[in-house]
Amino acid sequence: MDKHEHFITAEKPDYASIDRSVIGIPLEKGFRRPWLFVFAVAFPLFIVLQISIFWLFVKGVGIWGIRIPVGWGFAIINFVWWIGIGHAGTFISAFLFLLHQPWRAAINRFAETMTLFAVMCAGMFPILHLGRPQRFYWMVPYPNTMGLWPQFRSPLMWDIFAVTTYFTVSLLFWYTGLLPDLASARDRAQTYWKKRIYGILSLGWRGAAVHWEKFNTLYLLLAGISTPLVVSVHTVVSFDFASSIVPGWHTTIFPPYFVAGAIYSGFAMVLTLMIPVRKIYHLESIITEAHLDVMAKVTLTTGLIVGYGYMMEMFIAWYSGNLYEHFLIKNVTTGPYGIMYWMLILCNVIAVQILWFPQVRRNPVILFILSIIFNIGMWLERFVIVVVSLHRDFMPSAWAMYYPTVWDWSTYLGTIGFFFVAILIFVRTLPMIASFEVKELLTHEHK
Amino acid sequence: MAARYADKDQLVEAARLARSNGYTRMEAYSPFPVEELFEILGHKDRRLPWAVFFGGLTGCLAGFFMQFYANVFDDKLNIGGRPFNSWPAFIPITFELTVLFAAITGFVTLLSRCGLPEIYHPVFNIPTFDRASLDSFFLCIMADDPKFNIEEVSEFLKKTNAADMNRVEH
Amino acid sequence: MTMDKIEKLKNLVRTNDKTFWRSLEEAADDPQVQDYLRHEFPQSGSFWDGKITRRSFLKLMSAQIMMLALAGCSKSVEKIIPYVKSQEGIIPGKPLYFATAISFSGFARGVLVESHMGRPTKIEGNPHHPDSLGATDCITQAVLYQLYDPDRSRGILFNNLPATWKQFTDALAARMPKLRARKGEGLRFLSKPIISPTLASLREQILQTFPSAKWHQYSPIHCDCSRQALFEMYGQDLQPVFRIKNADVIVSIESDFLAQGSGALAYSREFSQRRRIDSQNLKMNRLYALESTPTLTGAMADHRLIFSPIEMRIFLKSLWKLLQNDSPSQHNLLSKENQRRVEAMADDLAQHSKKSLLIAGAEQPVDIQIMVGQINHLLANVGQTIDYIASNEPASENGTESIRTLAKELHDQKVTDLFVIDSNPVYATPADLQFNEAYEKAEFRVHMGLYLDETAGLSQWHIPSAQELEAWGDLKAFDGTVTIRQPLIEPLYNGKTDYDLCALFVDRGNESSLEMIQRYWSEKNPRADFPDFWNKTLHDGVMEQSASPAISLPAPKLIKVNDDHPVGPEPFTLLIRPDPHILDGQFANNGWLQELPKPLTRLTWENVALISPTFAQSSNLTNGEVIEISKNNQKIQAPIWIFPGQANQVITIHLGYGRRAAGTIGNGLGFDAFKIQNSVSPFEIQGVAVKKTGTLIQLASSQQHSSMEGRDLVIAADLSTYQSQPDFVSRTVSPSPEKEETLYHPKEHLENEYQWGMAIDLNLCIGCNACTLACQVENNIPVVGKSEVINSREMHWIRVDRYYEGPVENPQTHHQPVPCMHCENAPCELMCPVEATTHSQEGLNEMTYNRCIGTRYCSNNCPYKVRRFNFYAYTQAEPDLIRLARNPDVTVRTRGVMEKCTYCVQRINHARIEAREENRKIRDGEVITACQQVCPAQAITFGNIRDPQSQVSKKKGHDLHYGILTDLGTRPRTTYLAKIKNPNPKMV
Repeated sequence: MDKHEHFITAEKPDYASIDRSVIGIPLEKGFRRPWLFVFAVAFPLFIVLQISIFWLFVKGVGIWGIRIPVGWGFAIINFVWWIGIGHAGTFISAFLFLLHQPWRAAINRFAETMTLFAVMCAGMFPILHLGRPQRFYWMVPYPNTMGLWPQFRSPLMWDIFAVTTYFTVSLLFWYTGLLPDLASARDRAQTYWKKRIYGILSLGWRGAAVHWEKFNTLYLLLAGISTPLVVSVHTVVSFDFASSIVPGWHTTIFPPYFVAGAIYSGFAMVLTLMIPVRKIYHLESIITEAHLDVMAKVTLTTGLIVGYGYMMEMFIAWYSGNLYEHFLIKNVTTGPYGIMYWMLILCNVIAVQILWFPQVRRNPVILFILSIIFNIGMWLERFVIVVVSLHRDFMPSAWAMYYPTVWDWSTYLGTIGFFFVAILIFVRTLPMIASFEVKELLTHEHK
Repeated sequence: MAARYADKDQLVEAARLARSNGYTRMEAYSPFPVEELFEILGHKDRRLPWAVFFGGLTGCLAGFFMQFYANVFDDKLNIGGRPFNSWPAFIPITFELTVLFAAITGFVTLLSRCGLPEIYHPVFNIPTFDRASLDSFFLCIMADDPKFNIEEVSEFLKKTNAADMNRVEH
Repeated sequence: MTMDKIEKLKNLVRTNDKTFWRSLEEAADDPQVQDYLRHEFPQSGSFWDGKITRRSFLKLMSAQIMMLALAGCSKSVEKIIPYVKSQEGIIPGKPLYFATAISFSGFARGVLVESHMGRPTKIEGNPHHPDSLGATDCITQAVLYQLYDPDRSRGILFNNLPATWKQFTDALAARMPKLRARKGEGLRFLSKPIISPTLASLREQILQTFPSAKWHQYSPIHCDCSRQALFEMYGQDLQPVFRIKNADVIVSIESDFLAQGSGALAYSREFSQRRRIDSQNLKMNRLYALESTPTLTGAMADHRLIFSPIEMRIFLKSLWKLLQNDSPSQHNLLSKENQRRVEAMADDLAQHSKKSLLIAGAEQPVDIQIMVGQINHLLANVGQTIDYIASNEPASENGTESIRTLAKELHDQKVTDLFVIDSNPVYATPADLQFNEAYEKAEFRVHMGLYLDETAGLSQWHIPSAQELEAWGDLKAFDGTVTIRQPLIEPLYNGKTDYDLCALFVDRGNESSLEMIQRYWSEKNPRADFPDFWNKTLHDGVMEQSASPAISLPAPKLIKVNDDHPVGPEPFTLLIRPDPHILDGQFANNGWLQELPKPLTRLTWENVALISPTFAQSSNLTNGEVIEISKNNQKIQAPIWIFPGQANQVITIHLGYGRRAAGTIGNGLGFDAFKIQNSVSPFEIQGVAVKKTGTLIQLASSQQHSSMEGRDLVIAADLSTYQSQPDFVSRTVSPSPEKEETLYHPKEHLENEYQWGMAIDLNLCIGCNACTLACQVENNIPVVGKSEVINSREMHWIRVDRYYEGPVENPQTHHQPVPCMHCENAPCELMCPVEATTHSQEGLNEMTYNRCIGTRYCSNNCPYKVRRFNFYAYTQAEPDLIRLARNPDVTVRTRGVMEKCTYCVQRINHARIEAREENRKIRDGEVITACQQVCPAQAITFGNIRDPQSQVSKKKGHDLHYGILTDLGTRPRTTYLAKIKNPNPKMV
């Protein structure tokens, strides 16, 4: 496959047609029917989220299914799941930028936005799952009269810093990349208000050479520091489990295994969102089948790493000869939650192998279904990690089963609703593809 | 005085000619970054990377010292028998703050170096300037250039087969 | 009182919500109440006539609460004592301890009650009292809940209308001439067995003035069979007292003498002294248990043999015959093993004559009691390990007989006036007596009790009785020692005592119960210094030399026990036992007891039908499936619970549940076992039919898994293995890293001279859960309710784990109390992001409640899972009155906060303050944790492990000592001593 395997297949490739198709979308009047349909599904879920949060603050964490010994439940599973999904965006825009991958140009903005909204959903849970959420600010090291500091050895403290840093850096990275497109949106806008808003948002970007020079250096630097950031954030999230002594959590494979899982589920979510949007807004020419093919390949690789992670987790547990780890293997595979584990293996290890075939990788419909399966598999993986290790650990007298309640599910589906509402608003108001990068790519194509 | 070109190479050609002609105070506008222009217009400078580096360094020191001070001087508590200065546990937060400070200083330096946010700029008065973000490339020679005089400049720009030309009032 | 006032009062009482004024007439027309309200709420002057809106009603009631809560606690109602001139003896913050006693059916237990500012907050054992010896069981602790129970009856009712004490005395006086004329014919009294000498004398006087009246004493928990057997053998009304200390070999026949019944605490203290493995222990005793349903005593036994009631008789008879060394007639009926076992046991007993002891359970029928008595005599144990004393109860009559005659007389309408004192016959009597219909046939029915229970519902007059902590009284312990019960608090609802009621019959109505008791005792042993004698008795809580002496007895009459046994058509035998915590239903409304896990089953809030694993397998029943048990026309429906160690064709159910009028907590819990009980043989029903009903109930068990899964949690061995390898414990437990084996520098954290630690001797722990409840009372731990227990969110800080080991049919049972381990390298402290849990310089893992934000990571990372979390606002949901029972030294936790055992840090601080005042060191044994103080077997030792002379250091130096899960490097401060069994080598 040559280096530029025709990532732009427009018949008459000129800047105007790209601009019209990309910048045109936010400026068009009215709403498209599929957009309204998805919004009709997502918005009620968002209302459900608000009701569940209200009821949670009124009654307390008891409305969820958590108990002693399973102190964490859906809240932490969803937190890890969402932050995992959030990692694909920064991975694409930062890591692939360093590797000069041409195909990232079409999808990096969309993936970064998905990251921001996923991190927002993830960020909710560490506060919602607190027993006294109104005191969450004690985790911030602000000078206080009590002379108390937060406890920096706790992985939850690392979490707070990691998630806030990740959100801020992704926001800056996304906003920097968005400036030129906001400027072109400002220039194309017709109505009075759109001109004003896009103008202000673009901070007066003029496309001057001095701007571009600084822009390129900063973009390169941000990409440079975001790549280790992506790896570090999900390593810190895996430290939530790896630095405890619970059998099944206390394993060294967790950091790489979590990071691979994050990118895997992130790409799956990008595919899940990209394929319908590409269809609705007829962007096949810019997000070509080659894109889908490459993304599926990355998903396959990270899926294989995740599969390796499962195998290694089991092997080390067996190899360690530790009584509690041996029991864990027996309990995970054949215990009461055994079905969850085997469904997880089905989704994340067996289903991935289909991606070896090029015709599957290029077929949007199959890819869409597979991406949903992968994300379900990743959610099951977090469920198995959190619940199964906690519900039977050291003291048999404290063993107990965990059952989610209706409020667990309503909060989880509510966050999905919130995520899709946010994506829909973004698609409707801001250009979702970096048009200047595509144009730049176009000029290289023709040289 | 600003000239519009329909193609990237024409712009680069014009800029090189202007440079050889002795004009120094010039500015180019394009819908996407054009690397060759940066040397020609002399915008290369190492200020931004240094700013990001020192931002990251302050973040790292601030992060580590905050935790070190909290656990060794101000709030000495016996947590699970672990030592006060348990530096391995301080590393994740130190790294996170390094990245955070680097990114923030980088963004702030970008805005300050580019003079943004400057909502109004005379160059917007060029009627066709909205195409600067679409498909055309502009070269603008500033009035405060020592060799600047209006006829000579417009003469020169005509020679570089510019699509159209217009004066930019400050 | 005018009718409309009564009407208003009726619905006020009926609503039974936050209104708890002292008494109705006071609220109705006491001038002080009127002007207080007028002064406080001028605009609602016409409080009574004006329309009471809901809002104004609640506003006024809050004023009432404020005024009355204060009045409720101080010594005198009228005078409010300003604190400028504080009451002598009361120092705010410093608790006072009063010696008093709590009465149970047939015996009393002396206790010390801790009172903060006139408000009783904790019940502790009285070291001088023979029954308590400083310890208490879980029921004695929970009596405090009953004092503040909001569902207690609050006023005298006449035909469900509020009335006053004066109206009752007038009504009684009106009937008195007729009763005297008829010499009390048709007058009947029904009460619990009388253990109060003063009440016994009052009973004598009443029966003299009304010769043909009758006084019936009945309680569902009674030892009539043993008294009847002793009467047949020795011809006197006797009561056994065991000397467990002297017994080398004990055989318990279906008896839970270590945990239930009279003298249980003294017996478990003596038993534990003979089980202790240390230098000055003379010789470890041996316990055999012959049981059909597992009990705590069975769990402690070295040999536990399972028999159905019929096999039990055959086994005992052949044992008796072997001891008389002639050939047992029905020996062949026993299985091969049992024959070898009975021979081994007979030899063992023969070798230890004068130093052995057989104990038959109170519920065993008369023939088994006689056999046990004869064997004890045969082994010359009488006088050595068992003494017979005169029975506490005045009249030697059989309780079941007396209630049956009363029911018959009621049915025949021979009873005109019936006075029921402190008992609930409509609920707590065998169903075949149909007491609820019979009861209404009496013309003048008076019920005196703590609750508006089932009997009160059908009575004309209901009088709230004063609770144990509100009334004077004199009570006999299991060995006859007398204690004067002194009230801690003015009766909250103006309750009357049974002395006041009886005084009306012998027209001493004007005397208060205190005067009656003082008069009785000054006449009984007249002495010059009676006031000092009285004060000393009140102070010590024990009247010295009042224990009844052991009676030397001639040889018992030899009674032939027939061999035939009625075998019912159906294979199943039904055993009915009092509930270990709710007894006969009197504690049904006690939240603490309902939530306390039942011994061995670990169930809460429910009574169940216990069946054996083979029976469950054969008829494939699972836990919680409801079966219908029927005999003749009586039938009940009960959920089953598979119980390892239960005899195969035997089903056991517990009394005390299925109550209809217990109170908001007690109503509708479990099923009513009285419905199938018959008065002929109340505790054992042969030939019971069992049918599946197909419905399934979810049972709230606080421990779902009962095998140790190969982890070294409870280490047990035989005495022989211990004697051959004394260090077998350190070899089985995987070694824990030394303190110096660390990359860190351990000396960095400064430790002051007190390093607190705890050692729990698993050899002595009976698993009676007294520590769990004492900790709940001491540390204001809330009750969470059945649905939350099903969600495994119960809040007890110390849980007693019960593990089974060995065959499912008859497993070894191990108990292990698990408080917080206070690890030196605590994995929980590492995980808290806000430093809510830190390590003190004295080695305590401290929990700062107001800093905790509830991430629950500490609980996830605790390998022992000892941390509890307030998922809901459990403490706010508790009724207001129960908050009066709270210990003021311990913070009450709100929603969203983690909590755990703190080694009773408030007691450590008290001791430190006192030590600093007297500038001396804290002595060993000065700090006693709530669980340590309450443990009857003194299994828990707490102290300073840095001081080598302290008790806890000796225990930690013992070679049986080990910590659990130490291979994780947590270095726990709570450690255990291994469990040693003393099996008979000949017995397989």
